[in-house]
Amino acid sequence: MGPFEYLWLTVFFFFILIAFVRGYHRELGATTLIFVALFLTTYFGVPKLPAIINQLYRETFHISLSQRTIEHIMASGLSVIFIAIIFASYAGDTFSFKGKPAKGFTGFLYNLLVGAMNGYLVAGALWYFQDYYRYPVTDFQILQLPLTTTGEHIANFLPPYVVPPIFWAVLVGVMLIFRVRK
Amino acid sequence: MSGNTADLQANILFWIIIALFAWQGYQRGLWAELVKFGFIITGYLSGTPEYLGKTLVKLVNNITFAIQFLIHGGAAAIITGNFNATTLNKIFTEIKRLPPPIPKENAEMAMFLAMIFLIIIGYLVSTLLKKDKMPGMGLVVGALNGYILSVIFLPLLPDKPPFTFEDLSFEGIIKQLGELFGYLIARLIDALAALFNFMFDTFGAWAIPILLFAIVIITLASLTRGKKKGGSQSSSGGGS
Repeated sequence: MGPFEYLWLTVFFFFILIAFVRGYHRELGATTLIFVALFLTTYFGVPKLPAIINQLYRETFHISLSQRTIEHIMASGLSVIFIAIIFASYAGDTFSFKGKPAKGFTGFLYNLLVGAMNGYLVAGALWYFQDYYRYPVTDFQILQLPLTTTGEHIANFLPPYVVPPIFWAVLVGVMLIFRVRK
Repeated sequence: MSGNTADLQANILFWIIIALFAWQGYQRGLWAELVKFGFIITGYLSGTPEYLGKTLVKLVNNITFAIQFLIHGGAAAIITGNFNATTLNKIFTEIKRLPPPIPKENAEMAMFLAMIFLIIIGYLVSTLLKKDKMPGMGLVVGALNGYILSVIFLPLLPDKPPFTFEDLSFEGIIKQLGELFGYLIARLIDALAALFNFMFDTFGAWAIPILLFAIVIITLASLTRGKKKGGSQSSSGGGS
């Protein structure tokens, strides 16, 4: 496999393409659910889930989980939950915003901005689940470490590292106010 | 030789910009172009240190200083009436340690960004205005806008032409087009990197939350509401 960050860059560009195909007014609906997913995972999942999982396991099997096993469960579990929410935001009758989107160059720019934002949030969050739990995926030889210098630099700016968890809730609030305005 | 080519390219670009803006002015009409003109002039004044630039930077720094004063105990001192020399001295000692949001080394970049920001806002506001019945006057003011923008931005171009087509064979043109595309992408990345560096210098860890918030607000606000038909609002909901 190539450098670790290439996979995440592909996801990032993929979301830009999706934004151009669907239009940014629909993508903003997906953005709302991405914010919800980020809030749930960073506010509740990351700080509280390890203790709950460990407690449940200890009470069931009377032994504690090793640190690395917890890291595997957390990284995979949070990624699955996150991907499930993102999938739900795109499947079936989707959540989108009222109104006509801008056209021409302005519309192009907004599609690009929203696509880049969604790409950064999704690719960044999935990368964060790996980075925070010391890259469990590398134990399966799926991807290689160490990160390149660029990769290490990008990893400092993954969404949950630079945005406080409560800020995701603020953004969800803002989105909902715009969604329900008359 | 390359200097002459650069001059020629700059001259061609100068007339292309004027023609484009004149055409846009003809389509949009007088009022939209006048609004754009106002924003361009304000942007130019804000981006020039001798006119409004330095004042703008001072204003931002002083407003931040005032906010920091209130946050670091000033507001509490005013409310409680505990407004004595010791309290003030303590507050000022504390906030003097904080760096200004726009330090001297970033002042020029901040002025330039303020100018770009105002020009973009002018363009966006002008698109909201309805087309009027004075296309001729719109053409004139549009050309004037193009002229001012050329005067502002063309001197920023490099003295040497950054790229020339030398091999005019089919393969050569394809190869050089690829190189030109790579060159433009590299310059775009440089410009974005400079912008992000400026943002991180100014806002620190809050740069990304502020950026996300700005994108969300700008794009949501851009969704114009459709005309009501029989009491129901037009909605684009559903379907991926």
